[in-house]
Amino acid sequence: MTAANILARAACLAGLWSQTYPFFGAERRGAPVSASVRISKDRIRSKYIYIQPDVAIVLDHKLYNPVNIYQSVKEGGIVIINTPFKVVKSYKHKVFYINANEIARKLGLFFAGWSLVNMPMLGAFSKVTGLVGLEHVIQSVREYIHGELAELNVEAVKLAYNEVYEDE
Amino acid sequence: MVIKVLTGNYTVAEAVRLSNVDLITAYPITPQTTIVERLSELVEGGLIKARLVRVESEFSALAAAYGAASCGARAFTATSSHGLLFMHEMLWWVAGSRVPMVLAVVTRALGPPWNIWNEHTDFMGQRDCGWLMAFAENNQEILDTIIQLYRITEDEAVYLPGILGLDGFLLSHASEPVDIPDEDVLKDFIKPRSQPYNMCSDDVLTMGNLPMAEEAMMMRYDIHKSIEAAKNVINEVDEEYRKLTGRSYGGLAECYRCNDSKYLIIAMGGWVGTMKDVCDELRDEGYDVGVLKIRFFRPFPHEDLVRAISGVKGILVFDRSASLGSLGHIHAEVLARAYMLSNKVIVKGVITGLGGVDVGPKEVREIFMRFVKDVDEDGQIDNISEWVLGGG
Amino acid sequence: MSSTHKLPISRPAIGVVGKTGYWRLKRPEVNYVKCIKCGICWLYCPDSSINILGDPSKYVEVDYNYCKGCGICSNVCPVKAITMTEE
Repeated sequence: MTAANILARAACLAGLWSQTYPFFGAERRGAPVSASVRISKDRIRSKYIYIQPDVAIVLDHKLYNPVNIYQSVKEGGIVIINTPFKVVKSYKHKVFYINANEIARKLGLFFAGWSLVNMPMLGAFSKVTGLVGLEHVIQSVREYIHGELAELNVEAVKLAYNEVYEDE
Repeated sequence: MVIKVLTGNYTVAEAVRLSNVDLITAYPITPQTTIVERLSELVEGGLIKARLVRVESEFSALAAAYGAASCGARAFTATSSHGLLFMHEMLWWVAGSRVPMVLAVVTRALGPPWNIWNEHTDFMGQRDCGWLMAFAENNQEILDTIIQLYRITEDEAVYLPGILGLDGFLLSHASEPVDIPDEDVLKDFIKPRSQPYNMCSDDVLTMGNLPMAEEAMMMRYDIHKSIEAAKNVINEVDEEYRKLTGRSYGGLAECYRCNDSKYLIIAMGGWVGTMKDVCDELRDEGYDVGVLKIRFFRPFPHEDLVRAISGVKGILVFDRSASLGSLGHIHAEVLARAYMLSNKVIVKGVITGLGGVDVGPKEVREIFMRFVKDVDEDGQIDNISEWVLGGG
Repeated sequence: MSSTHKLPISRPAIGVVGKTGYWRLKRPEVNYVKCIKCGICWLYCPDSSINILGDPSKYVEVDYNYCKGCGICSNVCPVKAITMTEE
């Protein structure tokens, strides 16, 4: 949810309209959750939760289930996965990889034993889609997160922006 | 003016900050909790100069706000679902004693089975209490309506409390850009607290003493007349607000592309936005369709309804609540007025979206196309009140 | 109160339905020798028909114009100084 809100704010800074929805079930740290973001040039009026996204950001490769992910994303859409290795290929989507856990480990971004990978994934999103500029993501991160932690997260965004790569 | 990306619940807190509220009572319940959490942060940070009282139940939350309001404080509290039902008796006390205040209701289904998702049944359960009842379509409207509601409820023609309903999760936990007006802009709009009497003044008063039957009925009638009188106040306040901020919502109801329409969709809440989008698509495809958004459920916008439905062939009413054994709540209201006016118009009710069932443009379109087929080809409908259950 | 609304508000007033003392079947009598001047009878009287005079020999006084003879004062008196007698 934090990542979704920061992305929505970044889109707002880029002069776009944005909308986020959480999907709860069991909103606990470690439980699988999802959040969706809609971004548009125009004001978004519709209010409903079901979404067939153009882009999916998978925060943990262990949650990655090719059937679910590839079926929900539009054909020709983009899937960005946090993983240290390549996973099952999709011929209908563009797949990008980033090892966000490694970035979090390098920068010491941990909370209660969990590596914080949501911010680097936004950096990867910015690079891959070009929908929101890196500067907008960085400004949005600084608005939501304060102090030393903000700069570490900004660094993580930048690293991921540079390190994300496409599946050949 | 500043644009912030806020959830519906944080928007409620911003509106309370802008409304110069004196007293907030806080008791948590999903999906309302983040309203009072955010308010307690704002109070602690000195951004709201109000007392925040943590109480031990929803009943007490409204009782404490009511006590403070009857003594001259501008009061606010918020709840959902079972919390609202636990408050129910206090709602009658606040309205019956003519004490203005504002309550935010983040709508949620009622158990059993245990369910935290969105439907309007809890909101509709307060229909007859004597409160003004507004409902927001999006986060911007949440902000604007709460600010407006303090003015409306404290108007001497009204002197009744008001509820703002907002869809649980669909609005409460969904973020979108919200235009927050500067305090300077609202300087003259936000008036000093006004109420019909003060229980803490030197004038010793008894409230709620046993009256004669005729007097009791007269008091009830006065509440009815005041809710009717609120119609003008709502329209005036909305217009005054437009002059300051550029935003207005049509007062009690918004007519979206419903001039000269053959079909009319009527609904209330967040999904009206979805219906407006579907309406645009259908208009492009050649269907003469409009959307009437119910913004105030009490007072009910009868005049707006009568204007909107004249010349209409078919009316499709969406309810996110049901009076079990009867009809959807809005459907029943529309039917009553529509048949006073004409016995030719077809009014169909659809009850859907209960228990958090997601209703998107696909579902709205399907239901609408089926309705058009029935009306145009058969000239009648088989099922006047249909439950669309969802899940394929 | 400048409102034109029909409000559920009233002001306390003495004897709005007349002198209700004649409803009484039993009459509280205070034994001033036993009375310890605690004022509990005054506090409990539901009709405000016990007045505190503060006089050393007669601390409280029952207002028989309005006392309906409910007997609460007699019941709560910690030293049983109030007895209910037939009218």
